Amino acid sequence: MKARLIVLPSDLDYQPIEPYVVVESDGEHLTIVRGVDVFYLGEKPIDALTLDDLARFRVQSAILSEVRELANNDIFSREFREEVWQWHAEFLRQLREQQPPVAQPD
Amino acid sequence: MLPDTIEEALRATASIAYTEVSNLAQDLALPEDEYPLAQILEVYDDAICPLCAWLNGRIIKRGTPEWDKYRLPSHINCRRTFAYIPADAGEQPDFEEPPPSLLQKHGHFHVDPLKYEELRVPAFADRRQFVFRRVKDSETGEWRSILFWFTDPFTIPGLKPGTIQIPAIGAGYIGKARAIIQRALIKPTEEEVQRALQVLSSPPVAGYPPFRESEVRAIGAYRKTLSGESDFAWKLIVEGDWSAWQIAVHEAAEIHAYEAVLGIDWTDKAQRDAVMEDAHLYATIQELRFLVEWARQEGYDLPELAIEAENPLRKYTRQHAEWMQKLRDRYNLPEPTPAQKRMAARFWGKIRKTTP
Repeated sequence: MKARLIVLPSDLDYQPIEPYVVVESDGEHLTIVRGVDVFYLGEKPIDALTLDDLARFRVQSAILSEVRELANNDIFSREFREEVWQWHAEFLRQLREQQPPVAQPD
Repeated sequence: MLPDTIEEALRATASIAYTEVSNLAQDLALPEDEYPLAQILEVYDDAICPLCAWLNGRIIKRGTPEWDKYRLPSHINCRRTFAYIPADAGEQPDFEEPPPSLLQKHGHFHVDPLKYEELRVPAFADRRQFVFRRVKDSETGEWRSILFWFTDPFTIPGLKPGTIQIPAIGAGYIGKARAIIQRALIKPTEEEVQRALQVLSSPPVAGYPPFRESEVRAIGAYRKTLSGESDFAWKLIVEGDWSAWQIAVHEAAEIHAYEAVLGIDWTDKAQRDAVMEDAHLYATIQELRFLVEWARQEGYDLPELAIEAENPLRKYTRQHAEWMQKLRDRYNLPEPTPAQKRMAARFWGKIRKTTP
């Protein structure tokens, strides 16, 4: 399952217990997952995700990670949460070192 | 006699904790500083269980974790009451935790609080309000435990429609809202609280009360502590999105599950992760009962799973069918018909257009 992290500016000061990740389900349906909560975003390829797609949540500034193929597909599983958590922690560490792996979209 | 196992509990004709309402009323009426202690008084007859026999007569200090734990019934049919002791009585607390073996065998509400939360509803003086029965599914032949209500659960005095599973918290959505705010690592801003309060002061469903300010603050503090300053769910509430009430009811139930029912530190990632699915299932069924009532008031007679099947926030996720199965299994929910799903889609369309 393809996924991208959403890192908000405040995450750099306070690492959230439940980070946000966007997953692409069958048919290019994009869903935000946070813990076991989900928010449907819309239908488009995950590579084409932009900040505009997060407008409903009044997100003005965020960094989207590169697209990654997650090993765990069950978004309600602990393994999925742990994989996302580890990825998010690593991504934050990279950002703090000012070596973001991808540029901010748009 | 008490059921020894969960399965026996479900098979047994269950009655309810009829002392709970009077206990809570007294608890609220007698100031803690004037009556700092309470003595456990059990009905000491042939039906008393070993756990309650062990607890009988012990004196607890109010406002302590053990008070929070034992002021509520320990099991189905628990008849615990309290004698409140004034500060000048010269008594001292002598409470000790019961042996774990007694709790495991008889304290069903302590061992698996979310599973049994449904049973902690007040009784009428003259009759039980529900029983469990074993029924055979006509299609699959599978035997299942079903809860039969003798009264419409939405008409139980003192309880709000849709919140019948949260009786212990009195008039609100969240027990221990202030404890949640204290525990939170990030608090919502004053402007956010006031905007959210405005949104959540106008219930879209008759019978559901407005959220109290402390509950709104608790939701904001909870969400921000979990996901940071830019938490999406909190934003949707603050901005008055069409989903604001649905989310607030869900989050309130989830907070209540962690803090008041399970008694865990939800800011601890490991503790939270261990029970996250249970708490989320609990919150989802509260959310769905709210939506069922909303749909009914809009003229749509819909079962929970019809509404969930068309839930625009969740329906497109890959595991939605799996999530629905978990709900179905946990709460014995009926499978919706195609016609009900179509009706549910119309209901969602309507509330998305008409709510802020």
